[in-house]
Amino acid sequence: MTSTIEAKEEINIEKIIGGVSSASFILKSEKPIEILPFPAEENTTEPIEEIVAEETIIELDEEVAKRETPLFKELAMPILPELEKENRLYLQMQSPKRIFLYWSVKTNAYKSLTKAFGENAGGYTLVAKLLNLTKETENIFPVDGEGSAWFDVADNTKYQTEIGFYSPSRPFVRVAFSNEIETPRMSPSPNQDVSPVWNVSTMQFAEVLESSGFTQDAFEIALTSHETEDSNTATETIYARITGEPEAKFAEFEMNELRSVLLAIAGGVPFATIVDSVSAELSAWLSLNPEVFEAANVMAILQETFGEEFGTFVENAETETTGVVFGASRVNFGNVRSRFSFPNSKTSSRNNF
Amino acid sequence: MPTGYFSLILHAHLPFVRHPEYPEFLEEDWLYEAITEVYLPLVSIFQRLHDAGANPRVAMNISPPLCEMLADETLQNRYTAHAENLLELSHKELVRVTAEEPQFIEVVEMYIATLTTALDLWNNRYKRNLVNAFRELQDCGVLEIITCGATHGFQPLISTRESRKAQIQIAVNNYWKHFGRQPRGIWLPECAYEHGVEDLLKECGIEYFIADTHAILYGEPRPKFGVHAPVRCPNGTAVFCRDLETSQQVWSSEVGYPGDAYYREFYRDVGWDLPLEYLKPHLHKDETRRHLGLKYYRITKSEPKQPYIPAIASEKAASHASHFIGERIKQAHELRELHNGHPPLVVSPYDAELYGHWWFEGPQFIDYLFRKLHYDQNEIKAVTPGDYLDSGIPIQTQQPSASSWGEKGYFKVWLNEGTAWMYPYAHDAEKKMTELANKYHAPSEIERRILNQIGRELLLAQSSDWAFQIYQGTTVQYASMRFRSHIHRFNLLYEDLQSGNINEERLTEIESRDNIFSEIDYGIWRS
Repeated sequence: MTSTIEAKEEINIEKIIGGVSSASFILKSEKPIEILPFPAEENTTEPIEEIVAEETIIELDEEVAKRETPLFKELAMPILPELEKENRLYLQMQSPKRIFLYWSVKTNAYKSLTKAFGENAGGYTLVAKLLNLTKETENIFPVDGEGSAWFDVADNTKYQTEIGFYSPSRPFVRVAFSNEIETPRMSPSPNQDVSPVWNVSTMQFAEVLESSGFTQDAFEIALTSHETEDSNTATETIYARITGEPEAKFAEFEMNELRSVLLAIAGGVPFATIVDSVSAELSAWLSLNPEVFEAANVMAILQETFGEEFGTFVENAETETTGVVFGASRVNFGNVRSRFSFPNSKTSSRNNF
Repeated sequence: MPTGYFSLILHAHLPFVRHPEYPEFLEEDWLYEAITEVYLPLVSIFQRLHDAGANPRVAMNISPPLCEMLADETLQNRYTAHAENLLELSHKELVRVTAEEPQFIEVVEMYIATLTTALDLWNNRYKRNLVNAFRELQDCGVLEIITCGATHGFQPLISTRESRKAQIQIAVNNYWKHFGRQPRGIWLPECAYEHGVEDLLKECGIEYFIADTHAILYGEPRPKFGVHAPVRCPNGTAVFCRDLETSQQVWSSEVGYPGDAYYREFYRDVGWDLPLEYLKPHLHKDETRRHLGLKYYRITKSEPKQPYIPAIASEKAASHASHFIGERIKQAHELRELHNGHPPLVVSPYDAELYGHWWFEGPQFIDYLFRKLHYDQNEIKAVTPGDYLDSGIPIQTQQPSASSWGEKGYFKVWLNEGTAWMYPYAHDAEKKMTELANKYHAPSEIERRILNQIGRELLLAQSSDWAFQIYQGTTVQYASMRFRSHIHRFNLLYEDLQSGNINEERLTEIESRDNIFSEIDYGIWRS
């Protein structure tokens, strides 16, 4: 479970200076640390500000409000409080690929630093560390005393953040650390149930996914059903059989995109549509040798490799709908992996309702 | 044993909107429209199905804020006036269309008949309290009513365990108040789940929750039956997930039933079509146009829109119900074969407000659906999640994956660039609430009142509806104002309590406005 504990204050500079430093207070990176510019343009270190639309749905009648008591007016004009300046650091998951951090630092943290290091404190910079707890890596970003940021991250990974004072040649002085969060995986588990009662073969699980509407996941799982354990290797194998090229040739392309092409061809999407929907590099390469990507040929190779049952979940592949629903709901159909979604296409997307 | 099971789950929820400080308030119409178009028709249909011996079984969440509003006397009185006004306008309209637009006579007569019936049920059968009606339907075996977060708080975006649990425990307590028993299941607000929520549910006595499809499909380990059987979390709490095929059949504006050309067009309303002077007696005092609920056109495939013909629309609803059942039978056979004889369960959750408000004929569809399920076939059995658990069918244990049913499947609708500003304030209040609960063990009467009201303000600020509306771009100003108001009131009361200088007049005023959960006990937030 994602920790829900508020950021914990950790700084104790007096202890550090007194030589009582401990690993829990000072974290040294085992690798050289590079200070990075803030990630992605959309990330921001600006204090969080309310975005208010221009429209006005309700307008409190000022004439009425003026006639009312001070209490009425006080309640009619709500004011957000100024949040206390304290060591606050909180991490939230927006999606498997994006997380949000907001923070603030007590002003006396700077004073304590100056008091402790005197003139030498000038070498320190306030930074935020994004810790990838799964891979045990970290990135450091210079920050202001208060702000927020969005980070593009990996799915199925644990993260935590820290705020502290960084100097290239000195120990990191941690001010506060955040809760831990774990981004979920964006695909089915690779693990089968250990109980024979609930165990399901890979190909049957692919069919189960297909029956649940998760066609692209079904396809990717099916690719791992025979001979190979991972879908990337399987994808390379299939392309090698289709084109006669060595498997290593396909490492330069994005595997998700290659799989989408296979699924689309097998599902009967016109080759010209596919070529228009993929990245420029893949499009150019596919166009060199269009005859080998004839649907029957691709399907035959897939079934030859994975068995006749492979074809069950690429049948009736033409239906695709958009993401618009009745009513005001924003209900998700986003994980209905479209049979024909191309990761690098501007026009395609998952089947989002 | 049937070929397959089918579980219809309706999620009835509206944010707590109640403004006694104003004589009329636009956003209160959300409740009034839903009572007329959704809740009264559904109650009436379920009652008729039961009386006819059709044995419908439906799981329905009636969220705590909705229960509180339906049981609130101020809102009951205002709804009565709202419905009477609409009926009066309908009678006036019958005179007008008879003289000027006879093609609309049939539809206006339909409104007069349904509104007359609705008012009769409202005043005489249900005594203006639909909670009682839903409770009767549960007690007679039609509904399995499940609960929701106390104020529809989005569990994964709440910062403390105490506040997360308070959303659930207060909902359970409120369920006891309204339905006199322990809820078996919960509709997690926005179907938002992350690991650990199940522990809080278990502590509050909840047996199962509803989640989105990928909660199970991406869970650990692989689910043998995919989304067509529930799983149990390692702590024993069961999880039922959404079937996408049935969602699409009803909800998709492209291939879904509600898009049929003969169904009623939602966006053409007399509140916008008729002259303002004519409408004025039926508008609010500000005389601003708004949806009034009288809509005369069918969707039609091309302009101009054609008049709505109730009888044809009703036939369509019957036909769509037949089609829906046919598809379920087909789906059940395919899944049963795929699952080596294991009977599949298709779980179909929808917003209740889809049925009647957005899809006017939706309640008729449900009526036909359960009649046909009962009389015309025996392959599909309608069950509730509770029924399924009671059946003793073995259930796989699995750790579900974090997910929601919102756009893109995760938390973006509620946490994004337009709503991120809300969370530091909400989290600050959550932390303070537990500090107060820990501090005050034997409060004076006035302190207890203020502590309980601080709790109500926190709960109301946590409602996921505000962030949703801001993201959606509708009623942004109102949603933002509501969030700010509750945080503001929280802090006013907090400062009063901390300073010992309690402004009782202000406390009383806030209590009278935000009167949700009269039974609340601030001690729930204690760590």
